[in-house]
Amino acid sequence: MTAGASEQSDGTVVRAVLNGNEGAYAVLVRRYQDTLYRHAERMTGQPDEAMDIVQASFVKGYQSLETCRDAERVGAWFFRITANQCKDYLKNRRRKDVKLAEVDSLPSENDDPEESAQRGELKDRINEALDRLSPDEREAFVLKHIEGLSYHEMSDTLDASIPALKMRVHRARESLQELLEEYR
Amino acid sequence: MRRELQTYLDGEMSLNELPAELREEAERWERLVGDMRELNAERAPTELEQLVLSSLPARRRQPAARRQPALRRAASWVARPRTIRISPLAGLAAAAAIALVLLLPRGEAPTPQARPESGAMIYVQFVLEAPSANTVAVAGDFNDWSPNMVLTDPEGDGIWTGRVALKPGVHQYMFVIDGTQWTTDPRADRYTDDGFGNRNAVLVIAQPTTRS
Repeated sequence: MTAGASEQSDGTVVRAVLNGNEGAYAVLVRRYQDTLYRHAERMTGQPDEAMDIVQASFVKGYQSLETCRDAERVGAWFFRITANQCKDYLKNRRRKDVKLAEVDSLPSENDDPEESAQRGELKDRINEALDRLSPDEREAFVLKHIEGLSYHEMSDTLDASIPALKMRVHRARESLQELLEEYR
Repeated sequence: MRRELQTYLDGEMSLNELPAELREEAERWERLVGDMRELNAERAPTELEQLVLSSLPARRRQPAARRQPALRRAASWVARPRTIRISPLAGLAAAAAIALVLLLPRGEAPTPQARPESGAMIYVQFVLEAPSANTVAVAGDFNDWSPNMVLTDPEGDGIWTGRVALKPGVHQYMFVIDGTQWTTDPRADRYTDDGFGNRNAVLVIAQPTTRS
């Protein structure tokens, strides 16, 4: 009995792809797309941009898979690619683009219209506040508070020192004080 | 912001250790980040996986293609109904040109009647060689000339690419390098004067064939 693709380790799947089983890449996509998409959406505040970034990240990963030094940790490798793409996007984004993209707070079918509108407004306010952070500060804040990573995990993921990451999170909190006032 | 509150939010102090006057603010922080967590989707959109898999580069997906004759590559390219490669890399330039011609009904733009009822979109891959660029975007009549469709340089070799879903028809576009430098696609099949002394590239997308 052989293990199904979903039970195989990341390293096994990566080696399969590198050995010519290109279909195995779908296993990696299915394993990590949710994690990467969540991060990209929280970093950009834009579902469409998050889709594009995750798509580009997987394509980049596919093209350079042989450079992944630790195939068993390919998920962390994908995450770093996505995180860098998110920061590049934020650095290059112009305010005009932000305005054009602020049309994504669509209610779902089951939402109460009033509640949905309130959530849309809240989302806009949160995104506006997060947009004022630098890409590094936003990344650190998102990982620490929204994705719930420890500083050790963040340091491992981003290859940055813990004091530097703490500094970014502290600055982000200072910048978000105005938003916090709404929670009185 | 008080240092004790930062320490608590860093997870290095319990709520009980926090001075009483800071606890209300600490709880507000918890509510704020709780809302932030809930506002975004937990899962990727269902179409993402297919979008990724359909956009993987052919050099891995179809390694045998390099050995095929050019005409067969062109025929194979045409058979892929949802991807048109515009201004491809040098090695694929001939194949793309042949394919585009084959897709067009005698070189004419599709008539309004010929548009698919479902409003089907065609994926177009834009490619620009710009080794010194920091960013490249495409702007055209399909996005109100806003340079917000950003291309990527996945291999760091100065070949910028990006896929955009467009409706069949005739479109004009330009590339925008580093946010300010409007550049005509040097490998477009057609051009038109933009009225301001520059040339817009013209892209003609034939309607996809429908099965009977």
